[in-house]
Amino acid sequence: MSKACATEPAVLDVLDAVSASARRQKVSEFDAYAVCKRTRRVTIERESVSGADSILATGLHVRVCVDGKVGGAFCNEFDLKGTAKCIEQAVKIANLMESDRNWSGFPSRSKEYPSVPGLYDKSVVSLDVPIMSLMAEEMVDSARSVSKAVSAPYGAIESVEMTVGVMNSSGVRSVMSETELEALICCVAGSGESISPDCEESGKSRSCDLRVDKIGERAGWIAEKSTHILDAKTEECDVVFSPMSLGAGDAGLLNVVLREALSGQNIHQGISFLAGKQGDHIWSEHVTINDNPLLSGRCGSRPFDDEGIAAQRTRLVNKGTLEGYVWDSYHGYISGEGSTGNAIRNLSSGTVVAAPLCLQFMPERGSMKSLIESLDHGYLVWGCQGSHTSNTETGGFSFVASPGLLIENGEVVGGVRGAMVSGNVTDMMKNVERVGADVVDFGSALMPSILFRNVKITTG
Amino acid sequence: MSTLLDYLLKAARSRVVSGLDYVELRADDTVQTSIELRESSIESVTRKFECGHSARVLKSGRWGFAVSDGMNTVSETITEAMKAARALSQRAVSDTRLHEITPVKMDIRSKAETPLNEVDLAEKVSYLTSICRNTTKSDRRMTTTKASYSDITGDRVLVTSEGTEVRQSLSHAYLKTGASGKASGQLVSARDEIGTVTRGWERFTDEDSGDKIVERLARKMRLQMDGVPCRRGTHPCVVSPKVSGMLAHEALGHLSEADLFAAGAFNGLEGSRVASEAVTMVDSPWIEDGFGNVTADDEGVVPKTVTLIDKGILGVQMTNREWAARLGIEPTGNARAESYRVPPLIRMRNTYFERGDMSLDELLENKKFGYYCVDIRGGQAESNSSFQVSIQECYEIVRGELGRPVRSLAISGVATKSLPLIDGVGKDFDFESSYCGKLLQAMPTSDGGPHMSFKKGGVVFGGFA
Repeated sequence: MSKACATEPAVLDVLDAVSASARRQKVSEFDAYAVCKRTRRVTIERESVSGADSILATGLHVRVCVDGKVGGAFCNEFDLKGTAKCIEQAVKIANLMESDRNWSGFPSRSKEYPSVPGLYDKSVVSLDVPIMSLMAEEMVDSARSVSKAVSAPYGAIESVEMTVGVMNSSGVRSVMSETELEALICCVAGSGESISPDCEESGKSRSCDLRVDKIGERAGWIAEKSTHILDAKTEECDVVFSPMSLGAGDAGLLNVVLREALSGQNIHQGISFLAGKQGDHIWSEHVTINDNPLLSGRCGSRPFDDEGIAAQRTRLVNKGTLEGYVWDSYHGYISGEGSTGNAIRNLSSGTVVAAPLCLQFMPERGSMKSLIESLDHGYLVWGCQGSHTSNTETGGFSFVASPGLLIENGEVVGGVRGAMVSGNVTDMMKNVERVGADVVDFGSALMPSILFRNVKITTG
Repeated sequence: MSTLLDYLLKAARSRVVSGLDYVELRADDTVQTSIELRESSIESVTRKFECGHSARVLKSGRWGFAVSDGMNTVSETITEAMKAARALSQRAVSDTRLHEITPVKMDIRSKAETPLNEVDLAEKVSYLTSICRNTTKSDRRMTTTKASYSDITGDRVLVTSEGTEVRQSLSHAYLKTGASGKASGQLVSARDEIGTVTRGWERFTDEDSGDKIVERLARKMRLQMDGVPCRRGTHPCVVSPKVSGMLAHEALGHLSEADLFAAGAFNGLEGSRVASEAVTMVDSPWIEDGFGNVTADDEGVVPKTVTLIDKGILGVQMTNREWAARLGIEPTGNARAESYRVPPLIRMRNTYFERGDMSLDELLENKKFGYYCVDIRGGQAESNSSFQVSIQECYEIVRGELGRPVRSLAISGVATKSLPLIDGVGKDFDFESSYCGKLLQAMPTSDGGPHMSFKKGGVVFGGFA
């Protein structure tokens, strides 16, 4: 029997131990975040299952405040020694700091937590390696069923069970459990001059309802289409962006840029192109964006944020008008806006930042296919190579459409290689023409496919 | 008191490993200090203690991997990895074998003159505060400055069932600074990165004093503020060592990692001409102050320099032991893991183009119009050899002379078409230190080379709006 993820009572015990240790060390203001994560993964290499991983990870992040001076510490062992060391080190660091005149204390739990169903599914926890192997094989088989030319260099099926707890000296004491199942496959087709780019496709769910066959088929389809290389030209034209190209956590253009641009912290510091524009009509009528962590069963949903503040639905953009930003308690306090329950802890750097929990681009109607069919000439951007280098302060970007496909007379007719897409998110969002209803859950974003007018394409 | 090595050796010699083809145990016991500043205010200071281990086992030709925190359950972790390998379906790969190596016993000590863990936190904070304060002061149009610093010290240990024992004392430090400002109503930004995996605090005080970082940031910011937009399309260009390094990394480097080569655009071109005779490119385990320096890789292989392009001819691939066995070549020592929490992958170390014989003036001359790309923000490669590199410092070239600065832009190309269009290689050399991402693992690498020039058609320019 493998080691299990810590239960909710066990995580609360750890947090209580932190509290006791803080009292012993005469620390009156503290905040603690404990996480235990059990990951099972089956990896794919060269079309075959190549290995199985089993990872149990724990983490405890503590912040203390001594006379307005805040210090933090982290350890990865849930024992008494670890909790005491965390408090002791955090106090040492706090004593080296200058007093923060903006400090208003760790937040209290001012609202009841919302009920957010569908975050935990036992069937995800009970998935074992043989079943996950079969899922991986089904995904690969589905990709290869599209064409014999398709290969799958890598991929994975991953199940996660996680217990998260938050406690502070202002009365927060909260714990939750969640599960997530993710499937990822990368397909390539062709060879030599006609080789496709990496065609990644993925899916995420809180339960076992992932259609791995569909994920494999989509990756295989896009790889196969990308081998028919056609010439692109330098022009401004209509472009359909796939949900992945806009919403993927680390590479989706809108998720990468808007997560930073809508953060109250960056607004407060003036390093967002959206600063000072609240109330302005800035984008197309088709653009409505919420931060919505309350949706049932979504991967970004949760009842409270990483400071233990109740999560809420926050309207950010309403039919093109910028209505608000997301705030953590510290920056919400100093800006006078208050927390929107959007604190996210970076356990590597120890920072607590404001960011959307689940950026929801509101869908309209139709599928990506219907957006494609509406174009006489244009492009389909499936992935954004280099979107992580976008300038999140200015909104400027310049990436390679990869995979990028040419649309003629309402159909995808082949792939284009090396077509650069450049511009600024603000200009681009003014030119949203249609929004699909084909929403994909990327965890931190819920994104449909979108048709943009007048997108700059550059080729060699 | 038992050391990390003791814990792993005890488990590696226990009955639990019997019946396994191969067992690889890795453990870290580290302390990380992270400091985040904006303006001259400290946003957070955190000290992170991390101790844990992992087991990677090969059982009947199938891999199993397990991770656990702390050091008290190593035998259980091996059992967990073995069960995972055994539970794979019958269709899973079962012919995995490793290239044989001679097991090594190494104790790799840090060469830090001023160990990072012996420097007061207050001194580190003061160093960063002065960078932020002086950057803001350098130009009244500057609105925000920030600094993110982290260092890691401690022990990393590798033990294998074949008898390899490697202990390393870590001394990693990385500093990323950034500045933002407004000019003519437009937001602009620039950033700077430095790091070390071999030296101590002297890396920051001797060479990259705070003043030098401020000077670089301020220069890049002014260029952004005063820059003109780039002309979209393809143009002749000259690239600096930092940019040529990024091209080495993105255009061919990733595709020469054996696991990516197999499905990449260069597969089948081994021994063929892919660039002019002036072009030689290597991946080296050790250069002076290299951020990708490796003394033994994370499979215990003593690393060697790999020639990826030899005078224009496509050379060999970077391998781990598994791919070396598959390809029938010697392992190159490129197996690297971010920490004990993840299995090693084939990764670059210090990747660069070798020097040529031309001066910068010679590279610039005869270019009626083009661009001189100097500094980068990051980039990405694809299997089809498409590359994208974001540029934060760039100038026009007009009739062989440097002209106006150019605002942020990105360059791209397809390496199979771009490499043959390199028409000049400089005689200087420099490199950049940064983190490279692959399958969610961030690994320190250096990328460098001399100045180089490309004919029109080699590189496409797209401007940020």
